Amino acid sequence: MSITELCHERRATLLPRWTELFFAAYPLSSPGFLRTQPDPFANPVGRIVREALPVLFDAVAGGDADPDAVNRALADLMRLRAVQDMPPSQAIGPIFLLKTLLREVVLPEVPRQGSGDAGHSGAAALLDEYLAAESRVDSLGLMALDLYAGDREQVFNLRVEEIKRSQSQLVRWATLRQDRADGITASPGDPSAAM
Amino acid sequence: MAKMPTPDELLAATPAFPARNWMDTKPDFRAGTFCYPAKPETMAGMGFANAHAWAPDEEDWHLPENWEQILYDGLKKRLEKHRSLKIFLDVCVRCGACADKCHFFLGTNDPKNMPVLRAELLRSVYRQDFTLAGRLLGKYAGGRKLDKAVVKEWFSYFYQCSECRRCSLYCPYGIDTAEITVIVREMLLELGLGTNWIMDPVSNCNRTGNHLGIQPHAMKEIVEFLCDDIETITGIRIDPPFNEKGHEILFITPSGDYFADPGIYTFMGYLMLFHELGLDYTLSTYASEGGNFGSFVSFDIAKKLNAKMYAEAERLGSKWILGGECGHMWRVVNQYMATYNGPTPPKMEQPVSPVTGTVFTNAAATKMVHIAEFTADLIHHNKLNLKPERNNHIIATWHDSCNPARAMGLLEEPRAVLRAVCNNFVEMPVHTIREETFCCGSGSGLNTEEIMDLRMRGGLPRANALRYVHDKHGVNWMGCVCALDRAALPPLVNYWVPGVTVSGLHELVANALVMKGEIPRTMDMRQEDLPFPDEDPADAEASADTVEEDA
Repeated sequence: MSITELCHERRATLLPRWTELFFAAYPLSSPGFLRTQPDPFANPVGRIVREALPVLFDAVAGGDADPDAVNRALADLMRLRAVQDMPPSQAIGPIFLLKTLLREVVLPEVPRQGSGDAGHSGAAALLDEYLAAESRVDSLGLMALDLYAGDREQVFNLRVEEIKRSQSQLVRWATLRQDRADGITASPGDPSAAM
Repeated sequence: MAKMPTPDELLAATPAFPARNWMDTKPDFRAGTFCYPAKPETMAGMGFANAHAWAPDEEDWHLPENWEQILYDGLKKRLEKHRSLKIFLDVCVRCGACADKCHFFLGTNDPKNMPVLRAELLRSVYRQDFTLAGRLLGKYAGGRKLDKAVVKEWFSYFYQCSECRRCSLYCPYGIDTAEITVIVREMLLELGLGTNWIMDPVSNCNRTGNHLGIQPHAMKEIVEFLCDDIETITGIRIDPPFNEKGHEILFITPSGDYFADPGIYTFMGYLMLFHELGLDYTLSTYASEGGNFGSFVSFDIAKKLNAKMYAEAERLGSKWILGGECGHMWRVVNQYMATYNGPTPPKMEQPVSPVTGTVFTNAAATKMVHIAEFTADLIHHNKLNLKPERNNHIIATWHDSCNPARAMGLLEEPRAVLRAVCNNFVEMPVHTIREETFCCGSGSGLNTEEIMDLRMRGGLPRANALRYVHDKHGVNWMGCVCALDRAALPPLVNYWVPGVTVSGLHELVANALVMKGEIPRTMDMRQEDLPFPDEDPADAEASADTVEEDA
């Protein structure tokens, strides 16, 4: 049995436990709600986490993964974690904890499964395969870091943009007055005179 | 030598059982988690006795010496004044129906953002000091002693409530958490604790008449800019009246509509509509703010700021008031104004549409009509020449702004208008719209940039529903009737659902409105090229000639 098959076979164990590690960042009495409210519109945090993790899990397990779908799932997850008032390590960290779960659930199977037909060399090959899966967790972590940083920058940008937007006409008016005072005549209808 | 922690240790999750009772869990103040405090001079200017400099992230908030007495007296006074408050505090059975209805809880997953627990922050103090059971049994009757940490907790959590009243909708007793929030904020003001983003606008509205403190000449010039823009787009020059006496209608709108982007496009829509109808109206540079920033923090200030509407209508001799697209302004108008400052000045009359003759009996007490009602009535009577095809590049959805939806039941009118001016309209999922609408996450004075993260969390449920129709139906536009929405939703949508534009209702009306004598439209209100521009009559003639020649 390959690592991909092993992961898929134990998906029902691994995925809920991994999901719990994401929910664990929230104060007690909330994870219960996150787990049990199935309506995606009444439980947006639960929805985002529950929709993203299966895609990411399958990407780690191996086999065919659509890079766009993986990126989209990870981007959704990071967009959420980036504004949830937690340190960056907490926001991204549970991604890496999948390794802990894999080591507990899948790794012990490697010598057992590998010692079948091909003997020792089979186990070594399977171990390589396992390590490649763990490296894919690292890849997700690195991608998540970029996304998280991008999201934080966007929040800062939104703050600047909001200040501009909230007084756009006042700035336009002040600019025109200044231009008039300086003897520059601008067409009042020219939006480029605004900022 | 110390060992490096494992990732699991680093990320040590929340313990399976909380280490402390909720009463003993103290709020955390770090930059980004609180609104900046109000300036002492602003507070003093509004007449607050204990105005002082303080910072939420400092240990000592420099409360007045007798702070306990002020709060105790303040609560006692309010329990006597507002019978509703006493009922709200007594009647809650903690059924939890409200718990998961708050967008702040859904976005932060902080239990103290459950409306039931947020109210409990006040209720526990009430029980301790104002009920017999609490006096005798204290903590065992759900009471707790008022201390400085409680004050801090109030400041933290009652400024994480946007007074949207979604929780009230689900409460079997109809407990109005927004009123509890206003009352707690009012008591905090008596300790000199206010926020800058609310108190500066309050002070500006009080002195100058609008929230940025724009003076009459500046307001007039800014509106003239917008008329320049209208002329560029339509070829029609509009010269709106200011402060003129003897007009039938006084038009009052939130000030964000004439100086903030994207509200200005909606404002241009109002002016174009009035011009096309030949409406007998005036703008006012004194009643130049529909939004009532006082209503976020204090009934008394709300009443004072609201009074200028009637005062100005009386001064100008207007028969009735037409109100622009605003949110909490309409809660104040619909639920408080007649009580605050009524009865209306004697010369005001029950509003009647001069175009259709419709009598707005719903506005008999307030003499004030919402522009969505007014325009929906025009469209119903087929009084407008509309080309909805100009909005064909738009797949719109409708965000019911909390206060017009829940506080005045304005659900069908904006939809009727939207359907008439836009051919593509998709509703968001059922429990996220109409009276169950999710808040933008920035209402009631939380629309300030220093808590942008919190706003992104609070607005997540709204954005989540929008994301669904964006992905599924290609929705690229979200309309709303609230100035705070128009300010708060663009960053929210940019963050969660990029590719969706936010606008007011009358921006879309203006795009579709065919005005007498206008030039063929090639631009929308934002002066962006229309994907489906009007055909130029000259071109149409030329192409007709070609067809004839070919024949």
